[in-house]
Amino acid sequence: MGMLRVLSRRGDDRFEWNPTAVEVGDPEAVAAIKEAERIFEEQRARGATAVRVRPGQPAERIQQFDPNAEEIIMIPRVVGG
Amino acid sequence: MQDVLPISLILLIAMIFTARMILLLSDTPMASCRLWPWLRLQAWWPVPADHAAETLLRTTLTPEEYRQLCSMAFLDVPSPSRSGRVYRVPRGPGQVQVIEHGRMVERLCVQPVATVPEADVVLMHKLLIESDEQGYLDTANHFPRSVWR
Repeated sequence: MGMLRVLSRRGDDRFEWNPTAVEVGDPEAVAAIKEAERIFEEQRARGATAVRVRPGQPAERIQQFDPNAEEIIMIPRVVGG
Repeated sequence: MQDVLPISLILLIAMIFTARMILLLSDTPMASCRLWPWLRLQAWWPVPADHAAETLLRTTLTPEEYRQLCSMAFLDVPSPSRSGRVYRVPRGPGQVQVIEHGRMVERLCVQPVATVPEADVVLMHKLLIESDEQGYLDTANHFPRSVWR
């Protein structure tokens, strides 16, 4: 399962998709991944930073939505305080 | 009526005293870095946002990192590019300290434009430092270390 997490005032908003089901063309899975990609682009347009997170490895910044990522975290835009 | 009045007064004083003690205790480092995070991890915690953020932080950090955060109230994030440099991220309000070879060299202030729970802020610093250290430094406001340290 892939997961997109958007950090927010609610803690985080989660959107999941199943890459295996997408490969076999399951309409629900395709719709889920498209929705995740749409949210990814929407958040990026707002200035959010996307990082791919893997257990035991440093976070990696990504510019494009990765449908094979296990977990992507969207960090809201930051500014100097 | 005359019997009830003194009892009510004593109860009121006891309640005020208890509330003051709870407030005092909640300000101690022990409570702020251990008790509150532990409470937020409980499924019955009444603020779902805090529960979700604390759970995400705990699952994303390694057990050693989370243990350090709970015992020291800060998280040390090693610089990916500069050996000997560590970013000390506080839990709660405060600036990130830049420590080189055990000595603080400057402080950084970076904050999200959106309101997010405390645990998400700690995670945000760690992920940004790991994934784009230079971008993080470019965004931050830099403050010199305090003269007395």
